Amino acid sequence: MVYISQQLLNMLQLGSIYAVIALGYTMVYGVLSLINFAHGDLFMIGAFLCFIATAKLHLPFVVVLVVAAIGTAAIGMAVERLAYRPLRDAPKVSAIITALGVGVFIENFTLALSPYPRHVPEMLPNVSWNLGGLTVSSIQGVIVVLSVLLMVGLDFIVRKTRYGMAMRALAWDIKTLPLMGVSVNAIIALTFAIGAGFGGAAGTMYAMAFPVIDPYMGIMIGWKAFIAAVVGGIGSIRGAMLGGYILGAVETFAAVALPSTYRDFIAFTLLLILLIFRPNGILGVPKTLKV
Amino acid sequence: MRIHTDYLTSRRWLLFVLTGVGFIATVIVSRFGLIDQYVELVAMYVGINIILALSLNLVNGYMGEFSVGHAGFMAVGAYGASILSVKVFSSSAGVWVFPLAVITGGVMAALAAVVVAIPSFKTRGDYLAIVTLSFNMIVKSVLENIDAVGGPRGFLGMEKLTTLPWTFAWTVVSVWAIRNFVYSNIGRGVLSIREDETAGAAMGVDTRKVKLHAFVVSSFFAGVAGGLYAHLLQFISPRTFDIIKSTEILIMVYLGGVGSIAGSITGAVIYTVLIEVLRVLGQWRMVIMPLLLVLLMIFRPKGIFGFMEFRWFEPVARKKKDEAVVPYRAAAREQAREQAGELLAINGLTHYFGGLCALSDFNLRLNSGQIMGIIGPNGSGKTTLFNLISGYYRPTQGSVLFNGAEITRMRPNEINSCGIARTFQNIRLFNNLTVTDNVKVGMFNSVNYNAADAMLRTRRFNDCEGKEVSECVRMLLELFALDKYASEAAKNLPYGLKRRLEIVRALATRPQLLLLDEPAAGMNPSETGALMELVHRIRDEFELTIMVIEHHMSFIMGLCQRIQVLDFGVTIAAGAPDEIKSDKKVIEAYLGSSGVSTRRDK
Repeated sequence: MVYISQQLLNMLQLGSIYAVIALGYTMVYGVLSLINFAHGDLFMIGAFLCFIATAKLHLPFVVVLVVAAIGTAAIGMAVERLAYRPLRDAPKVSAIITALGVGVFIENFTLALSPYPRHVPEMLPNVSWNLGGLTVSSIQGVIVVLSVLLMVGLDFIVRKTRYGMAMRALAWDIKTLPLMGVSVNAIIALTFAIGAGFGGAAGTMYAMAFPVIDPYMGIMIGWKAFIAAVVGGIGSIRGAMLGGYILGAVETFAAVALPSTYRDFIAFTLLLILLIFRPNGILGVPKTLKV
Repeated sequence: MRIHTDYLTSRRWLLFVLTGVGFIATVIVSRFGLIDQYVELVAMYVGINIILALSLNLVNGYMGEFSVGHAGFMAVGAYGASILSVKVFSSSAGVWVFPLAVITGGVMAALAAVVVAIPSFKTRGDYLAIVTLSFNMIVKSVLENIDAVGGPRGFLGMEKLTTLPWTFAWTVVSVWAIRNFVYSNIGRGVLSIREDETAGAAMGVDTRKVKLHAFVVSSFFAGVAGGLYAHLLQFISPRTFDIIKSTEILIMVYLGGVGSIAGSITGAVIYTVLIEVLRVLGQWRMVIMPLLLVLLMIFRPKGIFGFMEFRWFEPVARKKKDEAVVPYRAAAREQAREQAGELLAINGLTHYFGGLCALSDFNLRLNSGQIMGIIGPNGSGKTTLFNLISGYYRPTQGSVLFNGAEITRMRPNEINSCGIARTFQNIRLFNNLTVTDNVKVGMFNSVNYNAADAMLRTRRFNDCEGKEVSECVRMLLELFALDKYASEAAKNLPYGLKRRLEIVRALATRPQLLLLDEPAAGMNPSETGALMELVHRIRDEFELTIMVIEHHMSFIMGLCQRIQVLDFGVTIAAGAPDEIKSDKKVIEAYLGSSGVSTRRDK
């Protein structure tokens, strides 16, 4: 029982990180129908910004988090402005390839600057509490609570604010929105900023839990978060959150039942099976065929 | 869009000579070590990459899907071939081990492709991308867990069997076979999926079969490339075939240009050579490569050769005009005569969209040779009716009988094969295909050769393509005065001709029943008149039965023998045009309940 609870806790930690990254994918997809394949690498940048802020500048945790999130948001906006905006009216595939290219660029650029894996120093004192045999670390607590706060905040922004309304309207009809006096460019930039900022925050959280970081770390984590977004139903914000936790659960419990080398295998096989039965994800709405 | 190289077209034999000379040259060069070993190695990488890029281009460029896990198929081929050459046969078993191993690798990859092809039946675009990505990850993960092939440590022991001549031969064979596949009936099916899958199905293209074929052929060659790669490096590990490798292949395809054989070759050559040349930059070369790709996408998003082809890559159909061709119209007429009587019977057809009843208890009897009109205000369920008949929607209730056989739950292409063809309210042509190819897609089910015939260019293929298909298309285009636009892309036609081409394409499927969804939309009175004549002519010459949805009253009244009127999904009137004109309910539906009388009162 304790063992299972412990694994549940691990699942919550991993799932939180996946969910926060998946939100970045789903938001961009929601407004532009573009899979931002560079998003995993933005997450990696977040982790490296966190490393710089912690190891080189010795900033306190809250400042580190803000620096990583805002820095990554700025880079996300720059990527949108320089690489994606010129392609907004181009075929979708061109934009996707560009996204792949941007991802490879970011990875290798970072690699050229920092060829070796880095170790991120401890940002918060790591305290563990023992709750009836269950070990809860402060890091786990911070990650889970922070993720939930971020997700609730985002849900609020999207559902209750003017900007959120503009985002939802943009997702619905990019052609009509400017006729209503809303700047499409501004809303898209905002979406990228929030999505990338979340990636940066996730990078920080990841570096807290798994302190060894390298320029290629974003590839696998990014793809997995993307899968989480798809499982939940890409474009759906609540779906991304749900998908993140589902993937976290699957991976955690697959590692319990089988050797850890089977983890990816199980995760991806489950994904395939799910897609066969629910091709639009759990909360995704199937597109109706227009004839 | 083609690059015209008539000089080469007229000297096609040059290609064969060049290929032969090239092969002999590779044999001599590698036999006597005439070139630097490093250069030879790069040349072999180029060959392998050409095969990879071309095989991915088939799925991503020609079919318009988005596969991102191509390295997975390469891995299956590489391991399959290596197991055969290392574990099954001893090293000295003979020269035939290598080709056998490579082919086995290809076949294993082709079998694995079924895993990806089946989800692609239902899902496409981003979701299919996930499926292929997952496939890549699963292959890698499985290989890491099989100790017999070294697990994560990798697999050693292959002899260096891949030589320059072998690479050259396999590259030429791959280019030839994939080209032949693309320029065939099933290849046109592949293109129709890219252009408009819905319209393709309506023209009888069995999209499932086509997708399966495309994935299997594509994966076979990816597997072949894997086999060559494994016997060149003599070491493979699961990490060799991860997402980065897949991304590399994607870069080659999109750099060179989608939907183009010349493009894939160019992309593979440029990428492979550039990667080697930029080696001096160390780590920074991997920074410059993706940057180039991004710039390319922004300034030339289709890649270097997007949708363009050198004329000499395109096959020339061998025309055989001497033999008599069964005239299309005579065959159609005979078929129609056999089926005289009640052609279509619809009983109690009902369809709900969520809680909204789009069509309610619809009944209809249609005899052969009739022209029937369906009219009604916007949103009255007319197009829904067509979509139900042609298989795009599954009815909530009711049945459709065609020639006495139930077709209610068939897929659109099956219904088309039964003899029902349609056009669409908003024209759905295959925009980037030529007028000729648009019509040829309509003949998807009229050919009697299979994919293997096409890839090997057997006699059966040449007879069917050169004689029946090309003659039939020529006849149809001439009959409808579209012949001078034959090699024009459909998107460049003026509006009226697009409508006409859509009708011709539907006729190419040899239907007995033709459904026309607002054929006169957007036409002026004289164009409408011409269309009316055309429809009459089609009916008489092809012995067709026709159902028309239309808003132009003069058009429908002048054309149809019977008319059925829908309003909010309910049939409110049915009968001859004169009866409909004076029907009170119809007037109400169109003009409002008191529209006519109030105006008079004032």
